[in-house]
Amino acid sequence: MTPSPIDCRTAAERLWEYLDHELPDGPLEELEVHLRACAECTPHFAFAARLLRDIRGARSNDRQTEGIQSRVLGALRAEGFMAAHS
Amino acid sequence: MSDLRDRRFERDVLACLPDVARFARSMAGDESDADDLVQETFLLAYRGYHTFRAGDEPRRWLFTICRHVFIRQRQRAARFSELDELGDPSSETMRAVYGHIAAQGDGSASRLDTMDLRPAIDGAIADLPLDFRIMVVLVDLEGLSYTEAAETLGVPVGTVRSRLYRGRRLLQEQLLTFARDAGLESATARDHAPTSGAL
Repeated sequence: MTPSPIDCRTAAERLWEYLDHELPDGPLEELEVHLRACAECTPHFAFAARLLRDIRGARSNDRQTEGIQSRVLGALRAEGFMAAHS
Repeated sequence: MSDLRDRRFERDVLACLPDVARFARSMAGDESDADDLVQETFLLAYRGYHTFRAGDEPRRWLFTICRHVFIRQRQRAARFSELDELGDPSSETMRAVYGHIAAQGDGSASRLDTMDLRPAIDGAIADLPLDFRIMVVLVDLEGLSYTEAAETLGVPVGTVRSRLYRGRRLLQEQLLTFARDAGLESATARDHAPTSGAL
């Protein structure tokens, strides 16, 4: 069955859910049909996707955790923790 | 606790320390406060390990404990409920799109496309108001689904959407400002550069 056509506003409202893979099948299909045909909406989705990639890339800048790890292990030992690598 | 349970705790729970440290840092802001928060979280997790159900996701269990500790420490529970009165998720999403349309108009969107945003992103996330920051960290950095984030924080999925989309919009605004400022700086540098052949 062909999905119902949606307008640009409806498509834009689904932007984040689409990029987060949170859209249910029906609305997803409607949106994909719209995006294939709409040159106006595509740049908004591409821009938001790039933004999300960059934000998610921030995870690689993890802080060092060695210091807090030994502090936590020390506190746990005081509670009786006795795992092999402690 | 028995040696076996301690080993299990070490394998399943302690292994999540880097994730909890990142989450604590996103809430506490200050590194020393974040370390206190991490320590208290693992102590409570250890004491309450008997309540952890096999099959549950330890990271989400720890995030929930960490957030409770943080709220208790700061006595900010009231502030969390205040922020439930956000705009609906659709209008938050539309504001991000309108922001992009404006940025297309002034050229900052295309400038941002060619820039390395990594130096700006950490600061921009740290500057987000707490409730939006937590949601961005859980969903975008820790990879939780909307439903998982809702269960972790004990809020409705609609609240996850509203806070997450608002947080992303604020990040977008900050990063576009970063791109505009960088454009102004390079234009100023060009204006003040000596012209070739000038005496």
